Amino acid sequence: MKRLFLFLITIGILLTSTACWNNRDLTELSIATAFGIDRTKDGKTMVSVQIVKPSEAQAGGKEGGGGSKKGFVVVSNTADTVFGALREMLSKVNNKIFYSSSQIIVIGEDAARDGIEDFLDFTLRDHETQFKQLVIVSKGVTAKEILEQEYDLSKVPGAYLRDTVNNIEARGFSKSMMLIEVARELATEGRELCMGTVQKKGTTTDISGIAVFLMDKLVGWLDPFESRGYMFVMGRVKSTLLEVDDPQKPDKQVGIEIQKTSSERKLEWTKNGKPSFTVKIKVQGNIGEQYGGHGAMKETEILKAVTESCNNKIKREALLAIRKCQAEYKSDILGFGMKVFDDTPNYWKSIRDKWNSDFFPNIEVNVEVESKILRSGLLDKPIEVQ
Amino acid sequence: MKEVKLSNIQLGLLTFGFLYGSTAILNPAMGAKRDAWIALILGWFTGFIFILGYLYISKLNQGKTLNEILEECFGKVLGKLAIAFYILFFLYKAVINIRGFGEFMAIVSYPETPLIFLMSVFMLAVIYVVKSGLATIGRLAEMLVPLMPIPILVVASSMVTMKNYSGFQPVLLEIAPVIKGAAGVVSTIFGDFILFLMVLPYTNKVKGRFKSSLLALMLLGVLLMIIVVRNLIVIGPVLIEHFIYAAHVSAQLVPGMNIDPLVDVNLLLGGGFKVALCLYAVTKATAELFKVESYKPLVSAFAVLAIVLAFWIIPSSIELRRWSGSLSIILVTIPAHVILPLAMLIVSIIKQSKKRKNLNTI
Amino acid sequence: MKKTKEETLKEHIGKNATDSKIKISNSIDEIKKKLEKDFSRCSDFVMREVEIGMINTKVIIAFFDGFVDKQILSQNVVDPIVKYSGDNEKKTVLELLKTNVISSSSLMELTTFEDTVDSIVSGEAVLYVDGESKAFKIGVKAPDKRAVEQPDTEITTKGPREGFTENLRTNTILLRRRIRNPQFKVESIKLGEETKTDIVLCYIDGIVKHEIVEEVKRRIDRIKIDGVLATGYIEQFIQDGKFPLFPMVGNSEKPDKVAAKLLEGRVAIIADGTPTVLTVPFLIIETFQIQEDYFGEYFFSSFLRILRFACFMISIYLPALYVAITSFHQTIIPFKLFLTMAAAREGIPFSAFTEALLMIITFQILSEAGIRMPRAIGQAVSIVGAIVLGEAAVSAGIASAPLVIVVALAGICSFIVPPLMKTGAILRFIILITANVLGLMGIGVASIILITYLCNKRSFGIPYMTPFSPLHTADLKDSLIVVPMWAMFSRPRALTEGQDTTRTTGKSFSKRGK
Repeated sequence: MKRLFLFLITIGILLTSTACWNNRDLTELSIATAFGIDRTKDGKTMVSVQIVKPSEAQAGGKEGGGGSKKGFVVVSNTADTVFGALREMLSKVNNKIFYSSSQIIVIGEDAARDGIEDFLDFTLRDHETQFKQLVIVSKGVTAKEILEQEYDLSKVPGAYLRDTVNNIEARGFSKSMMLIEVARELATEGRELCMGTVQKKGTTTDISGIAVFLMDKLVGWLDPFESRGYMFVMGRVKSTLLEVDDPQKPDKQVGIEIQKTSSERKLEWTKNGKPSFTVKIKVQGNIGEQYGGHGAMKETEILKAVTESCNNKIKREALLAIRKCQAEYKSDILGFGMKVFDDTPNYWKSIRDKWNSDFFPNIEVNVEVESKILRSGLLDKPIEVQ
Repeated sequence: MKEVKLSNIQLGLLTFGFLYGSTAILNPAMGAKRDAWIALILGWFTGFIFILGYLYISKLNQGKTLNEILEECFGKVLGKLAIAFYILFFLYKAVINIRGFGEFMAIVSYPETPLIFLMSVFMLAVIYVVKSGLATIGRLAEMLVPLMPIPILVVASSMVTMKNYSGFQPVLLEIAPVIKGAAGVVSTIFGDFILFLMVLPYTNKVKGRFKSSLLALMLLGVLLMIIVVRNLIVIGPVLIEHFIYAAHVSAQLVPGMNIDPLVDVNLLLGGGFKVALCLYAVTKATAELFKVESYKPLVSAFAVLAIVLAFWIIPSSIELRRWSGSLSIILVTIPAHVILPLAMLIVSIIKQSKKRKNLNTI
Repeated sequence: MKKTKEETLKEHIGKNATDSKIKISNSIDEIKKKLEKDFSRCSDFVMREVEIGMINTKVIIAFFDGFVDKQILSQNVVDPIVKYSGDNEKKTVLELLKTNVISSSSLMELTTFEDTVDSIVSGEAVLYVDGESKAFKIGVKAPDKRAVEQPDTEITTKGPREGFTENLRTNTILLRRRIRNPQFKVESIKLGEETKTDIVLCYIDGIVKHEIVEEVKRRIDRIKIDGVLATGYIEQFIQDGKFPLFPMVGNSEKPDKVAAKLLEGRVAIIADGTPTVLTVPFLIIETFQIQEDYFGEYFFSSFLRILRFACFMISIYLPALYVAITSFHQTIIPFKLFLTMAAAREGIPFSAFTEALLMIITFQILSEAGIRMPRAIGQAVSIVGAIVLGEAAVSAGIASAPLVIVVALAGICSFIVPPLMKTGAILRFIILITANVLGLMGIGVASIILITYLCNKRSFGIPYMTPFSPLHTADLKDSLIVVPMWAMFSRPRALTEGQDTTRTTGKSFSKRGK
């Protein structure tokens, strides 16, 4: 009996002590879908949060975008620290902001130029932020403007932006980075950070190109083709469409759909004891399109010619990226230093501090590409116009 | 008195759950960064030898608990002192673990909930388990221990597609962290097997004891290896020392779903076993020391004591981190893991041979 | 005004109560007086005085009207006595009656008056003879019983459909028809100070562990109770633990199921007047076992076992998980679902926990109403009530649609494992509360305490969680999976240890195959 009584008392206490501590109802949350971080002119941090209104966002989804109201609001606040700005945001927002649902962090160009290490600590330290959310740099616009962008196809811009970034898998013209990867690349020796960029184009946003960092500061950009070259060197291209000249009709082009890539790098030493690299890129692809088609791609020579131009194109893009990083930015985003570190840790120790400034811009890099074309889709040969 | 009978399967699972418990959230091998796997292997081998030694002690002193062995080896007074030392040692282990797991929950999921409440709830379950007796703990191990590796394996297998295998090279840049990591592995994982001297007398078969505990040890080694390799691949050697709870972070990185809260709760299971067995050893040894009939009335008292001590000894989580990262946490365990067992082993061997001689002369 | 128990007893049965070993009086008149006194105000009590044909010895036949078959009584007892035309051939009257006169097949000699009264109240006719200190109990119980029907509680689609009835003898016969073996023992006990209900213990000697039988007997002997109106009374006395959360004694109305349990080494307890038979020891795995599982299609049976287990888990955990996830671990919810759920919850005035609590209580009310209402109305209540209430609650903005789905699913799942239905209802509440306090950790701690509780439990000395813990690998063949009958080589080891454990050698199958 005593035990039963104790049990009842415990239950009573538990029931009355509810609704405090960490118990937060869904209705008491402001659902953040994206973060934006900008640097103001006076050197402070401006944090913008995109908060969705679930019912609006849902209604939009259900009725095919019928609702005319905007499904989200962007709230920003300026303070010395990220957490400070976010906490003080509660003076403008009724419910506590729920960070875990954030899909993407947009870093403004100015903020990135000043160094991103300042912002990173909070996102890694807070137990609510997700390591899987994407990070991207806005080019030419502030992060807030990107967050405020409305899309016709979706009422949840954060998710829309996330999906667009994930499309890089099929394009290869940029690089998608998760928060944890950003932290990892920042902390890794012999490899500089780089990540995708987002621009504003007309009434929508465009994700192409790569932002190059030196240490934690933004130093420049790679254009889409250089970016793809970079991705080829890193072996991170999942799929992309490579347009090469049709050997039978040089003014027209053939689209090769790259399906599988891998890359390998080899460290060699030149006669004067400097490191040099050979990057071997292996690519597999199908013929996706024969623009203004002419003749079947059956002949060995023709196929060889296409493969050859494929090789050349990839090599050109890769070298473009490498040269630009070496000459212009002096930032080893390709991770050659890491290879040196792995193979000769003692030598690396002696040159570590000078790697980006003295060694990396001068190392010799050879690129070898080996492409294979496997299929030609449903068509054996293009239709001949008679 | 020794009527509780544990089967060999139960003993093996209990060994597994107990040893795995402390590493569930914090793995000392991780201190060696990219060489963590070497530290683990090294620690595992050393631990293997330690455990063989402990098992041999219990074999020489068939059917005797740690208390009886100590008294027999060192005499009444010294023996009792040694028992008191071990009681304090197990209590210390319980305290460190209860605080560690309380902090873990507070940091990853419940930052606004008072720590004392989290720890009390955790302790409530532990008290109930310990009060149910060793036989129930054994049966519980059969039900729960097989569940423990599941999330580890799920998380690890979901990462198989990750291609980023860099980070294992170069091997053995620095030796010191590896040695320290290995020592940490022994002192926080395998050395604690000394506690099983309180459990081994209650097994029903002498025969398969070595086999089942060593098999559990093997499987544990494999599992720990999977964890270390997974963390190195997923988080990377450069970040691994920056995160307090690597297990939580790598659970969060499972692509496509967020299962980290589920994994976190599962990690608590291991801690539960660890604390429960520590509490059992403390109360049982105390009861035997003071010739109290049953240890069960002592359980709640010692549990409360452990919580109080957890707040008293360790003022903050940062302090706990500093302590568990320092060398002194390893040094503290040396008398309990190495010196006393070694003495016990030597004295037991001498006594055994004397007995044999006596038998021969007669 | 209050009377002590003993006083009441005395009033009822007279002085005999205090001195129970009283001999039957020699004088028929004295017996008559005594009977009249004991059975005063019993309008259904009949005392028939006759004389044995030629010998002129008076006898009294006492019985309850309607309890005995009067036709058989007059054919086999009254007629031969009255019409007896022989003389007393050197024998005593008793011997004569026993061997030459009464043609009833069941006849027993009684020596104490107490016994005769007992026999009368349990439906036998008793024959007192003048000048003798002995009486006869004549078994002429009227076959007043329900026909053997299919029980409503356990419906089968394949296999035997017979069910136990309220009649004890019918029930034992139903069992003996299935186990035609003298090793099948049926031990009789009387229970209930007032009701004197017949109880039998059934077991198969050579399969059952003797300790279990002894333990059952010891526990039944301990029972001191006024009346046993149903086996449920006994169940509460013999089960392990004072307030067990889980069923600790098996219940069944199907003879084939009970026979199977007996063959596995269990003891069955049957009480007169109840069609529900108890089987002990009871293990948790039995709650998921259904007789049809063994009638072939073992793949499907195994699937159903796992499904039943999963359903039980869903029924106790789902609402709690919903509350834990929506109020603590929102990160678990996939982003799109998260938006949907947030949209559904928008504008609802209660917390998820309050909402869940209200809906679960509503569901419990509906299900109870559905069971207790007369059948025709019950249907209407359950279906209309569920639909109308759920729909109305959602559209009124009191409950969110996802929660209604969760609670309804949990509720429906709880019906799949009937033995655990009541347990599940309680557990659902407890786990829901812990989930509201500490989210998943609360659920985890509650589950560990629950599992410890289960591991702690024993039923008649057998751990409740057998065969999972302690692990009996051989017994796993009939746990969450079911192997075909030919592969069930041994009886449950935990129950039949030390006895013959072979069930089948499996050879019959391969021989036939050739």
